[in-house]
Parts: sequence; structure tokens; C-alpha cells
Amino acid sequence: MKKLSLVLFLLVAGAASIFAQRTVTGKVADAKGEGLIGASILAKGSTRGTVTDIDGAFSLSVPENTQILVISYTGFKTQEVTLGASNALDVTMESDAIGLDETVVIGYGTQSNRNRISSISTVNPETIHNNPLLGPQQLLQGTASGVQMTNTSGVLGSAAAIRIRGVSSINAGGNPLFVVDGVPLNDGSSGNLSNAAGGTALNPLADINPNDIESMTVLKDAGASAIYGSRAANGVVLITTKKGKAGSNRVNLEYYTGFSKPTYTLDMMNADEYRGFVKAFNNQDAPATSFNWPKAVLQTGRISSYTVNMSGGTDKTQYYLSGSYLDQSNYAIGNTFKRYNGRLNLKHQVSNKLRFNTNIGLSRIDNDRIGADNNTAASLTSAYLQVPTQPAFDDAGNFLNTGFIQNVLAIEKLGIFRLLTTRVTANTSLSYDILPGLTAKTDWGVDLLQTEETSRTPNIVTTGGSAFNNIRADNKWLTTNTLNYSKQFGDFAVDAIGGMSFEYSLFSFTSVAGSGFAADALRNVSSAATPTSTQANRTAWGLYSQFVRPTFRFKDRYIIEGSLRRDGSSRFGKEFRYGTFWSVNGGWILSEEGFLKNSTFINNLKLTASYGTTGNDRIGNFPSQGLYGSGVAFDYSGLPGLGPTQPANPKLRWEQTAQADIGIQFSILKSRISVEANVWQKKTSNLLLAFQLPDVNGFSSITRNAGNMENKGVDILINTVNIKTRDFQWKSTISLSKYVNKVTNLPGASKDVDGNPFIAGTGVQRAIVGYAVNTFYLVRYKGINPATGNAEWLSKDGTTPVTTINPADRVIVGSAIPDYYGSFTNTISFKGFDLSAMLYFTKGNKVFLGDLNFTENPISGFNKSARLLNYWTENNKENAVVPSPTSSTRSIFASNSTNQLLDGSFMRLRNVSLSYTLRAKQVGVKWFDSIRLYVMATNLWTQRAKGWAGRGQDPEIADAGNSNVQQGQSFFTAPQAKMIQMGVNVGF
Amino acid sequence: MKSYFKYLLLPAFLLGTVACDKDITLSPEQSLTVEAAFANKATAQASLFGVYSATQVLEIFGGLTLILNEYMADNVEFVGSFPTLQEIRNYATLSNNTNVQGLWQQHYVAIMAANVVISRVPGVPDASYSDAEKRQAVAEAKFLRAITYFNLVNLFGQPFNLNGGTSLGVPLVLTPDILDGKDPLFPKRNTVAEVYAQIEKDLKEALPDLPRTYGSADQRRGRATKGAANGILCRLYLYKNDNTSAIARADSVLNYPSLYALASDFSFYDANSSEDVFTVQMTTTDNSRTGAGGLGGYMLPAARGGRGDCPYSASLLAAFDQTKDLRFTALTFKGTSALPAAATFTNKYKDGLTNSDNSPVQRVSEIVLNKAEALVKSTNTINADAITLLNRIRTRAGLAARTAADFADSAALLTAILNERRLELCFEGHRRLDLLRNGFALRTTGTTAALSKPGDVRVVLPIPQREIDLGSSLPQNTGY
Repeated sequence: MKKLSLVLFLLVAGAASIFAQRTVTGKVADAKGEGLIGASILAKGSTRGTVTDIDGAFSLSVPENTQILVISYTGFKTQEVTLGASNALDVTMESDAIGLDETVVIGYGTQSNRNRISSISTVNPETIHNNPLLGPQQLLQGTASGVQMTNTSGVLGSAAAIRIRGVSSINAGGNPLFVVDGVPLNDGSSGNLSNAAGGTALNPLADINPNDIESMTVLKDAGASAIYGSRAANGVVLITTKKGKAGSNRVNLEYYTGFSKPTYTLDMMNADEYRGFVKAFNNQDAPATSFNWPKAVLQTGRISSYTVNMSGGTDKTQYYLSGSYLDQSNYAIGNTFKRYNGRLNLKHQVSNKLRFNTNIGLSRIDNDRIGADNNTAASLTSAYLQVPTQPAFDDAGNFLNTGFIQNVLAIEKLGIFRLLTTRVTANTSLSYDILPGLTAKTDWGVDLLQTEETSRTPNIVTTGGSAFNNIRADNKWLTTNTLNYSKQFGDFAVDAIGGMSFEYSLFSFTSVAGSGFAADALRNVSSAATPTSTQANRTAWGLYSQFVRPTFRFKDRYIIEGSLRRDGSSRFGKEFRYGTFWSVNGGWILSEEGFLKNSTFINNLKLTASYGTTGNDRIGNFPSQGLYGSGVAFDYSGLPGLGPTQPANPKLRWEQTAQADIGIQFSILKSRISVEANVWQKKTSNLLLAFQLPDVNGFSSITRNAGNMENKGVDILINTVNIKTRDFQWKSTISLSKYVNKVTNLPGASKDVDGNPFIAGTGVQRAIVGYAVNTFYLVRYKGINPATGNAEWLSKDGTTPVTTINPADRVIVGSAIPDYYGSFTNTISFKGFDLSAMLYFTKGNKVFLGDLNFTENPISGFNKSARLLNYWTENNKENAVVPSPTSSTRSIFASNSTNQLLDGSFMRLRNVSLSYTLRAKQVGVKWFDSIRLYVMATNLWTQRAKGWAGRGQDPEIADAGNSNVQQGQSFFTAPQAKMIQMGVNVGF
Repeated sequence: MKSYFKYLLLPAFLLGTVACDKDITLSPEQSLTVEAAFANKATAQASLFGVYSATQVLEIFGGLTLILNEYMADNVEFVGSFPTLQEIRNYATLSNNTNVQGLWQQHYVAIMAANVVISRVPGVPDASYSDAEKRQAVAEAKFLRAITYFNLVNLFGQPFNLNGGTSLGVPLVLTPDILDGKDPLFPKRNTVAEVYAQIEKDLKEALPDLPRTYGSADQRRGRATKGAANGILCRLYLYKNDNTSAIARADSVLNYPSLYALASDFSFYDANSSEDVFTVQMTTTDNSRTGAGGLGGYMLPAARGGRGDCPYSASLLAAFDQTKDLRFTALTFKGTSALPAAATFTNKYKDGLTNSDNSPVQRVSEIVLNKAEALVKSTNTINADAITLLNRIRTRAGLAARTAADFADSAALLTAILNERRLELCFEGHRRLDLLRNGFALRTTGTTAALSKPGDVRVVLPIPQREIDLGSSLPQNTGY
């Protein structure tokens, strides 16, 4: 009875206390006593909170029974301050070099870095601050261990090839899933978003203003990514945009400008050299005219960017509002990129228990394209291949028709090739605290993406002119509904999230084309005399999922976490539509144990392990059905037709990747050195394969689940604070990653002459059992025989030189996967100056330059590399690199062999930046808060491997970004840009 | 008031969670399942037209086959820029040649489409689809399968006459196994004779069920008819040196002069006239264009929308009487080649932009010349009927008629017929086989002449390396 009274009393007192309030005021400052703007103050156990103003001051009304305030600020250790009797509170924050108490974004939630036991990489605001902000994908190179980011091309707006922990699939796509504020992005899995030829896909992240990004999180192990189930085998990248903080309104203006040049260009023959060469090899008399095509298309690229953002709010409503404009022109004519962005992120607390949150991102991109790399209308490719005796203009200064290699100067001046992209990525959520610790949330989002591609070829290039107009829309909506439970029971804490989501994406394509125009000035297809194409297609996919992730912590040092997701996808046949993915991970924070807790040497020590499964569904929308297609490809003489397009495979199911991960995180010497290292292994089974068929079957391939593949590797990230004084700080980051990829089984696949089953990716690359997924399989080139002037290759046994390229002599000669890659970053701060430099390197990967099939073909009709001038003659026997003009091998010299295979290793100064920040306090004015002036350089220095000079351009190459079996191949891949930017950022 | 906001959560939550299996049951919108494609008369007929469409592609009748047959012989120069075509022209072809790969692939795509029609149309469960209509559809598909195999075997196998067809030809695939859910096929190469026998069988089986003619001009010339089947059989027998049969089949065509007759002038190209026995129909919206290329695309210079890749060779220019021969004066013009250099081009194809020229598979002139040739070969005499046939071609071209006195012996007459054939059918893809099957080298001058005799390695194309890599049972042509 007594007990019951006590309970009743406590309940009543507890209820009464909800209504009693007190107001705490104070200041949050760093060790130097300088006020910290925007530090967050939260009453522990409630949702009450605020942030500090410009001077670091705050005022927070809290329930009377509040005992602890939690104060956090990026870059500083989170503090819990016990409230005493006083309502005044000044807090000094301690710098946190390793971000132990940062909150990190994870799938469907956030987590304290301290309690994190899954393997993730985060790109934090500081890194974002110090990078040339061209596109979000740039932030992933070198900054995140285990993440291999390769720019596919120097063409503006092209995508990057991003591989997280190796290659988890053969045919089902290799790029990770991108999620922006909880909305998984459309990434072209239903269809291409542009017609542009070449391997260069459009960048799914191009629409995001990097300035709006608060953080990027890369989910690497199954423990982190299994919650995304069927789409997570390639890893997941979570992008979180900036949110407003309560306090005074802040305005930030940023402007930068810069210019660019290609890192490397090719050295082609000039007109005199060309005339001499074709006379020697083909006995042709080329015309006496000359024109320097590469010089005519190269220029200095320009870039300018303008950004303004405002943020602030009250303790109930916070906002972040931004707008930006980026204007970029490339180093070769005909390629510009203009991006307009707007964003509104808004949070509002309706009541103590009910909140809503909305993120709205709008963008428009105006991209002037001139054909991508693998297209003779691409300005630089065309300029290299156009014969130098071909003039661009007649004597009167009019453009000439230059035949098959079109006159790019005319195309650029008179033609149109534009891609307009409009995108809305938005979501709104409503959260309600049902009980203390139990929150329900419903989130509704869209990713509405539309591209409009307009091409208009002028009369001089195509008689009468031609045009097409393509409109594509990839519109997705989704809903995510979750219950979140978080509760502490003494030493035992539990966090759990469970929920469902449904996603539906509809892709549509509308295209018209026509030819025969009265004048070049008539831009649109409706002016064409002859309509040549009318198309309108749609395709859709849906994904219905349920998921749950419980986390248990005991004494804040033993943590176990599990996740489970069941996905149902429209992409698979009825019986195999559902897949279940799961993970279990555990962690032990040793530094919380008694024997280490007071160690001055070890500040943090954590061991983690995880195992789980994820899937991959990127195989198009209806791969399991046997189909007959319709439309222009099948009609005949005005009669509607149907034709076979795909054989059925009703048993098609998920490709599944099981991943194990063991990790250690520690920091020592007052956190001056912190290390995170993970060893991992991924085993992919039921590989989704475009199983190749002999063409006699009428189909080149059928999609099947067959085979296994394995990746294993190590990711290491080391952060050090080398020197730290009041005014001077020097920090270093080393990121190093290594992985080995091996195809372990391909049942039913064709076998090569050595008996190894394989799947051919391209004419030069294969996935071979026992070797990497993108193994180069080529005849070895030996060189020019000084005695005969013939080019020679090696027979299969490697001993006999032969003068033919016999496919039976092909051998395994390396792969596109590097032995290791990584980065070394140094940041030095002195008073207001910051100097930062990142070296990026990759070692041991092979690159196949398909351009050499053309530039080094002695008898082609194109211009040739100046290297060919060093051909064999009686007077030039020993040093010749090209067969003699009469050798029978001259016509096959440039055919595929290791002659075009180069060492793709390189090291480059990815970026270097110098900035100076002036704080208003230093000059005693109030009209602004801070001014930052900076200069940054990208790719200022690059060291290529031997053999590139005179043959290749930039070594960073990924011609077919998303394809795993076609990595490290180039076909006139536009080189990366060398860029210098200067900027100013003013905060008010 | 504001606490009611929380009730918004409930319907939102409910709406979000009621998604179920039907929401992820989706179907393609531009395609039918294979079953639906043969569910009724309309879709089955559409599937038949899909076979015609499959033969329109660049690699079959859209231009590539025709161009290769010219490039490998002596009628045209190669001035283009593409190494893959240049290799073939120079007899330096490698087995990974992408043009060869595409050509092989597309022929078997068309063959598979025909195989499906042949196997599935008889079972279409539609009462309104009569047996006669079904038989005709099967017959049309067999005709298309036959001409596709004929194209293919002549490119990949040595000429029948070299050794009676014992050389390796191409694999005969006559059933759509993969589409029926069966295991993939790894067939062996059949001999040239076996492939010829299958072509003959298909055409003979098709003949009774094919119509004599159709109502509209485009279908009369562009769909399978008895005349077209007889015409191809006539060519097949001539290639096999079965001259008696060739004459009989020529007559089966020429005996219908209201349908098939020599045109009075040379405006018949792309005109669907009685000159055409079978032509593949192309329009500005429905043509061979799968990328670059096409008949006009290859043959016309840049100023007329093409690539200017194959102008007249010096040898062909010399063969013409350039002042009198209407085939030269009416069908030739000067332009700038891809080199660039001044060159002479054919005017047989007009549209380099959209490649809307019909592809001339067989014309009455060929039937006439087939018969003339077969008459001389079967009689070994200075055959008067052959001279009459020859003169029909010559007179139309504005040239003087020949008499028996002009020829020393039957061989001289045969040479005259073959020369006339060259002038009449140049740029139509006949030259390579016309030389090889008669035992002549493809070229008589230049360094490559020595590589161009019948039986030489690179007068035929290599089996694509991909095919050999994937199916070890497929032997490569010797020497590749």
C-alpha cells in the first residue's frame, strides 16, 4: 500500500512537473573563449532545444524537472551539463579532432558516432568546405576509404564511376544507391536520360548544389546497408542537406570564378607530316591545304558560381533557404553547363509531440552537348581524327562540309545539341511521439526528373538539316512509414526502428525527329519537311518493402544491432518477387571498460564485426518475361509489326551479396592519432548475368542467375593532428584501400581455350573464373622487328613472335582493378589561413585505349598520332615503333592487342586550396560575420605511368561508368580538366 | 486544435501501408508476351511483318551485305575511313571485325523471327484466321528465311562451284529453341551444299502457298510472291551450275510479262515497277538506319547526305562506254569522295539522309541475264536465245545489239553476258559472287589481286570470333 502511494505520488508529481518551466540562459564558447554560433542545446529526454546566436548566447525554456542539457557542436565533443539551481550556464566546448560525438546519418535515422558499430565513411562539412564544389560526386574521391571514385570523362555533366568495396556484380550495374534526405534517387535504371553517344552517362547527382550538402555518408558493410535490402549490394550513399538552426537569421554569399585546361591532349600529325605519311604508306597525294583542328576547338574553359543562402528560425520553426547559379564552359568548344538550384528545408514543431519536416530541392540544368566521347561530333575527338589537310572554311570563309568526320566548327556555330534537365526532389514528413521514446513517422517524397534533348544538325553537315527532340521523364514517388523506439532501462538501452516503404517510378520517353529544313534558323522539328520518327514509350517499376532494425546497448560498451528487410519488386517474376535481406553486427567499446577508461594513452578503442546480405535489382524492368516488341523497329511498308526482343526466364531472382566485416577504431595520444580499419569480404551468389549466347540462337544473351563472385579487401583511414598550438594546426589524413576481385564460378558459361569459363564483357575484357571480373584478354604485342620492319606479336606460349593477331594467342594480361588506391591529405591552419592539399593515387590497374585503334592506324582515312612518324625504314630500324610502309602488318598494327593496353597507375594533386578567413570581431565591425577568400586548384599536377607520353591523354578513365565488365576502357575519353578557381564567401 | 494534426498521421500511415502485391505487378507497355504475339490473326500477321522488318536492317538488305560484296570485288574503291570495312576491302579481315559480327548476328535475328512464325502460326487459336492465310504466312516466312540464309552462306562459305558445295557454310537453325524455353543451341556449321538444299527446300515448300501478286504496288514488289520465290530459285540454280533448272525458273518469272518486264528506261530504282521481282521496302520513317550507313549513306557523297565511301573504281569506269551507255549517263554523277577527292558516284540510290531507297534484291534484268548465262552454259553453243536476251538488256541501255557473228565461240558469248551483267548490276551487290562462282579472281590488278581467287582465305568472311569463343563446335574458315 505504501509502495502504491509512492508510485501514485511520483506519477502526480511527474505530471505536474510537465507544466512547470524554467529558462536557462548562457553562452557556449570554444577553448579560446570565442562564442560558437549555432551550437545546439537540448534538454535531455525531451525535444526542447535551441541553438546559440552569433555571440554563442542562448536562452532555453525547459521543464522544471530537466536535469541535464546536452550541448553539441560539429567539431567539438558533445557535453552533458547537469543543471544546478542557477539558471545561468556558460559552457566551454572541447575540440574533438576525430568527431567521436558527431551524429552520423545512417539508413532511416541517425546515430552517435560513439555508438556506431557499422562500417561507414562520412564526408563532413569541413571536407565539403575545402573542395572545389563542382558536383557532389567529387567529394567522394579520396575522402572516403573503400570508395573508388573515377571520373568517367572530362565532358561537363558526365557521371562518375563509383565503386564501394569492389565490384559486386557482373552485369547488374555497379554504382551505389544514392539517397537524398531519405529519397532514393532515380539513376536511369529504367532508361537512358540522354541520347548522347559514348559511354558517358549523365550524372545522377548533377542536380544537387554541393553547397547545400550538410554531410554524405557511405554505407559500406552489410550492417549499415542491409536496411536498404535489394538495392544495397553496391553500397549506399546518403546525402543530407543543410537544415536551419534556431537563432538569429544568417545569410551567406559565395562567389567563385575560375578557368580550366585539359590535363593532357594528344599530339597528332600536322598537315605536312600527314602528307608525307600517306604518301609513304598509301601512295596518296593528300591536298596541299592545311588546318589545325585541335587548336581550333581547344579554348580556356570558364567557370563562375553564385550562391546565396539564408537560415535561422525560432525554437519551433527552423528554415534553410538557398539559391545558386553555376555557369561552366569546357576546355573544348560546344560544351557548357549551367545549373540553377533552389532549396527550402523547413522544420516546425506543431506541439510537444508533433513535428513536421519538409525538404524541397529544385534544379534546372542547361547543358550544351556536342556529342560525347565516342562520337565523331564530339569536338575534341573530331578534331583529332579530322585530317589536317581538310580545311574548315572555303576561300570565302564559309563552312565546308568535311564528310564523315563532320565539321565540328560548323556544328558548334550553326547546330544545336542541348539537354535541359528539370528536377524536383522533395519530401515531407510528419512525426508524432506516441509515448516517451516511441515515435511514429510518415514520410512522403518525390523525385521528378525531366530531360528535354534538342538536336539540330545544320544544312552544311547534313543536307537539308535534321533535328530531333526527346523528352524523358523519370518520375518517382515513395512513402516511408516508420515506428521508432528508443529507451534506456538502467544499463540497458534499446533503439529500434521498423516500418514499410513503397516506391513507384514511371519512366516515359517521347521523341520526334525530322529532316529537310528551309533554313538553319528554323530550330524545331515541326519545321521539317519529312518527319522521320515519332515515339512515345513508358515503363514502370514498383518496390514494396518492410524493414526493422533493433539496436541494444549494455553499459554503453556492448552493442548489438540487427536489421531485416523484405523487398518485393515488380522486376522479377511472380514466384521470385520477394527477397529477404538481413544483417547482424556487434561492437565492443573497450575504452569504456574500467581497465581503459582512465587511460591517458588510449582515448577510444572499439571493435566491431558484422555479417549480412544485400541485393541488386538493376537489370531493367521486365527481364523475366519473354517479349515481342512493337513499333518502328518491327513495322514493314506501313504494316504494324511485332518482333522477338527478349527470351523468357521466369525463374529470375535476386542477386545476393553476403558481406562480412571486422573493424577496429581507436584513437590515442589525446586523440591526436585516430585510426579506423576494416577487413571485409563480399560473396555474391546467383549473379544476375546477361548470359551470352551464340548469335545463331537469335538472341545475344539471356538474363540468368548463374555464378558466384568474391571480393575481399581492407579499408584504412588514419587521421592525425601533427601540430596543434593556439594559432597553428597541421592535420593529415591518409586513406588507403585495397581489394581483390575474383569470379569463382560461372556454371554453364562458355569456356576459353584454357578451359576457364568466362563471360565476355567487351572485345578485350572478360569475367573469367579464377580472375577478376574485368580481366583483359589480349594477344601480347612484342614490338617492331628491327630486321624486317614487321610488327610482331607473341604466340600463346609466349616464345614465338608471329606477324598476325590470332585470337587463339590471347592470354590474361591484367585487369582494370587497382592493386590499391587512396589519398593523402594535409591541412595547415595558421591564424586565419588554411592550406589544404590532397594527393590521390591508384596503382596497378590497366587501361585499354581504344582510341589507339584509330590514332595509330597507319592506313586509316583519319589523322594519325605524330608517334607514327617514327616508322621503320632502312635508316630507322632500331627505334622504330611502327611497321614499315610495305609491311603486311601495317594494316593490323592498330588492331586490339596489348599494344593498346597501358599501365593505368597515376598520382595526382587532386586539389590544393588556400584560404583566408577574416572574422568581423578582428576588425571590430558588425555588418558582417566573416569573410573567407580562397583560391583552389584541381589536377594541377599528374604523374602518369610509363608509356603514356605521345599516346594517351588523362589516365583517369572509366568509359562505361556503370558497367562492371567494361572498366578501364577509353575511346577518346575527354581528359580531366586542370582548373584554378578563386572565390569569396561572406557570412552575415 | 493543433493536437488534431496528429490524426493526419493515421490516414497517411494507413495509405502508406496498404501497398500490396498488385502494386508491384506491372507489365511492359510497348511489348507483348510471346504468347500474346501469336494469340490471334492480327498479332500473328504483325509478327510476320516483323520478319520482313528484320531483313530491312543495315546488315541484311539495308546496305552492308551489298557493300561488302562490292568492296571485296572490283567495281568500287574504298575511300572511307572505317578500318573494319577497309580490312575487308584489303583482304586483311580479322575475326573480331565488328561489321562481320553485326552482319552475322542480324541475319540470325531475322532467321529466328522467321522460325517463330513458321512454328507458331499454325497453332494460332483464332477461328477467323483461315488455314490458307496461315499457310501463306508460313510460306512468306520460309521465303524470308531462304533469302536470309542465301545472303549469309554466300558471305561465309566458299562458292558452291568451287567444290560442289562441300566447303563449310553456316549453321542451319530452323527452330526458335531459346524462345520456346529450351537450352541454347551450339550447332555445327553445315556445308554450303546443305545450306543450299535447305534454301531450295524452303522456297519450294513456300511456292504453292505464296500468292501470285498483291493489291498494292509496295506489297507486290516488297512481299513474297511466287515470282520472287522462282526468281531466287533461278539464282540459286545458276550459282549451283544447275543451268536447266535455272532456265526453267527464269521462265516461271518471265512468263508473267504483265507482272515482270524490263522497264523502258532507268527511272525504275525505288519505284516499285514491273522491273522489280523482289525489293525490300524502305521509307523515310521505316528503313535500314540503325546508326550510320544505308545504301544512300554509303554510296552518295557528303554533299548529298552520304559518306562518299564507295565511288566507281577505275576498272568499272573503263568497262563502261561512258558516252553511249545510258546506265552510265543516266545513273552516274561526279562528286567529292570521303578522301576527299573528285570521284564518280552511282545515282541508283537517291537518299543519303534517311536511307529511304528500296533495296533491290532481284530485278527482271537479272532474271534475263541469268537465263542467258544458263542457256550458254547448258548448251555450250553461241546460243541465239541467249543473244536475244542479251540484246534486250543492251538495247535498253542504248547500246548496239550483238549478233552471233560477234562471238568466236560460246566462251566469248559467256564473257559478253558476264560483262553485261557487271554493267547492269553494278552497285547492287552481285559482282563478288558472279566472279567467284565462274572461277575468276575478284581483282586482276594491284597487290591484293593475288589473294582474291575462289578458295582464297579472305574472299569469304571469318566466322565472328565471339561465336567461336562462345561455341567451340564452330570451326573457323581455314586461314583466319
